[in-house]
Amino acid sequence: MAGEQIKVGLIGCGNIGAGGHLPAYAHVPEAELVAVCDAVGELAHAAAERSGAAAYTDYRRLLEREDIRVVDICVPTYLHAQAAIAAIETGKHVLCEKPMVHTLEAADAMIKAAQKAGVKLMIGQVRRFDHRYTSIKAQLDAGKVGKPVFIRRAERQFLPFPPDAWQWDPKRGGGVILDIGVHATDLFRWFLDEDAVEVYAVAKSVREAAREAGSFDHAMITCKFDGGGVGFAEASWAYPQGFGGTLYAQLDVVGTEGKIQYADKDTNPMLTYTTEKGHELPRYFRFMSTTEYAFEEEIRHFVRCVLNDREPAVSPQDARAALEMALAGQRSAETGEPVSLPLRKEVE
Amino acid sequence: MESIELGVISYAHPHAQKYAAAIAACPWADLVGIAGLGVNSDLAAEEAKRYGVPYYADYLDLLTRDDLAGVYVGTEPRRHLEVVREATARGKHVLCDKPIALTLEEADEIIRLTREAGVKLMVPFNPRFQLPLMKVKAALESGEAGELVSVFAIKYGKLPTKIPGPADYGWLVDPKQAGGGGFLDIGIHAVDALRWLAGSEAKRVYAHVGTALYEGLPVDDLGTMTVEFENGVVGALSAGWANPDGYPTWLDVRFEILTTGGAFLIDSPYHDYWCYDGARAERQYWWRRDVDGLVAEFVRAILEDREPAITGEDAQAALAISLAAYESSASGQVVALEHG
Repeated sequence: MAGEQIKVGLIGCGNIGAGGHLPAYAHVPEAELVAVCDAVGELAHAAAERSGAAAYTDYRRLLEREDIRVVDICVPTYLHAQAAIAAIETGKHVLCEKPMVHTLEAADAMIKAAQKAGVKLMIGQVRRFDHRYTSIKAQLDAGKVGKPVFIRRAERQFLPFPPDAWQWDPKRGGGVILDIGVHATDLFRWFLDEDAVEVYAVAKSVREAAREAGSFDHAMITCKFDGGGVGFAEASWAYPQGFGGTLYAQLDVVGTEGKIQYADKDTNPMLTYTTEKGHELPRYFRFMSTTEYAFEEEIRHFVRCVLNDREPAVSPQDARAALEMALAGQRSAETGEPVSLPLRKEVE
Repeated sequence: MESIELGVISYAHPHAQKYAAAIAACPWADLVGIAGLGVNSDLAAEEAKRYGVPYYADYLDLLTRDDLAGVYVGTEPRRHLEVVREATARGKHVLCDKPIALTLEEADEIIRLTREAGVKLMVPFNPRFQLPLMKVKAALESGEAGELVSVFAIKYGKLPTKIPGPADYGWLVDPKQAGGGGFLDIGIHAVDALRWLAGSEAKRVYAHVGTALYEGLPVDDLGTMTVEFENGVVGALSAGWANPDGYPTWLDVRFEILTTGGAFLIDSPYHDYWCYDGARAERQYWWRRDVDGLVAEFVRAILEDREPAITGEDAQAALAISLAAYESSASGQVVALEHG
């Protein structure tokens, strides 16, 4: 590395921006976080204070800085395209949180802009940088279970935000199928190494906030793939508070010659007992869904790709495919019928 | 103490040994005879010797015994109707292993025959007598758990032809005899459990069932189904012969249950311990309480002259959901179920 550093600007200092990405920069010596931005001044200033970066409340001012080569976008999903394209047009390389964006039209605009400007665009499909899943992928690649044919996945938590939060809003966040489902759809493609041909989903609005927002917070998603593989996911924000920590994720990969099983609770190396609280599985990571190390690996990978002019491991087309599957799931949940891919444009 | 005499017909089904043992152990029942029918009759004869009861090469000779109150039927499902016809003609109660039949029409006939003869018909679906699920059902019924939202379940076993020992379970991979493969064989227990927990009838079924693991197997080995019930409960089931050779457990069962009041995670239906034999580790279940519970329920229903906890209609409904899953998988469409 010889001390070469890339200057980074972080746009969006909410839950994932300030909680997930920002602290990771301290552990990525190839990157120097020099600017942080949030439309909410308090959040921008708090992030600036923690990181020593300059604070902005208008991302266009941040993009004017010529010393910044990489922009890390952690704004709400519906604003991804606007922020990413603006950054790309100023010649910045862009790392953008998942889901890529909320529509295929916006995703295509992002891809086109990056191609035109000749910059790198990577969507933070963070499971691909999580040691749990990279280890399982390595086992699959080594042929340990033969050909993987069926994946069963659970991603579940209690979404702690109030009903007016953008995550609940079908137009701004997309609800659980888009926000969490996209992790599962990407994992299926990545592990099976096949493309999806059909998605079916049954979804519900369980919690009050979901019903108020008119969005789904609980979904069962089936994905059929062109090579015969099948992925089946439960994606949920409806599980009780406190459940999400050590019980967030579960994964079975069934192959022609074996099976891999992962569950957060089974790999928790410690159980504590207190007379006051009884048994507890301690949380080791701020987000159990994604370890801090996964954000670090993701950021390090992207920064290194920029430094060495290499293509990132997750292409924009990968992220678009995961998005397309999630959008198909959303449409299936709304219509009650299986939806074929590629997804046809919505006829309004 | 009041008790009744029961017999076992056929060791074709891998469960027959467990039911014979549970009948022999049941405080309100005596095992009085074992009949061979079809495959594994040698095993049936051996077991009769072991229990010190007569062995019948012709099951009609067992059924004509006046002291006999009822039988466990462990034949292949294609023979269920024939055996039920003979049993009901002689007024015998029937504990008939699953699936109840290969078709809904045969199931109708089995139900009609037992109703007309005034005998009890029960089909043993294990989850209903597994302690964790019984706790969940009780918490749902008392209202303590709130309303059921969804059940995310798996039921995986190993390929039945790999069951150790001399018995031949090849019929389980013959579509003509078994009617389906892993999804039907092992999944139907969980299908019944979904319907039982939901307390509602199935409305829509979407599934993918196929031969994914064992190339050339004439039946399916793995399936995944989403079922919506009339009351809005969603059931999701992955079932089949997904446990590879050398896997430390024959059977994997998980029920992950979301309610409006919380969630239940059931990782195994039984209490277990680990056994390390120097080469590998194996998970052993130390008590199949469910089989004892199922036999006791059948016996108590006879003694108390009441409906058993699991009726022929329940078994037919579970079969209808399973068959709808196969239909959905073949057509690629959602299958709607009608209820009269």
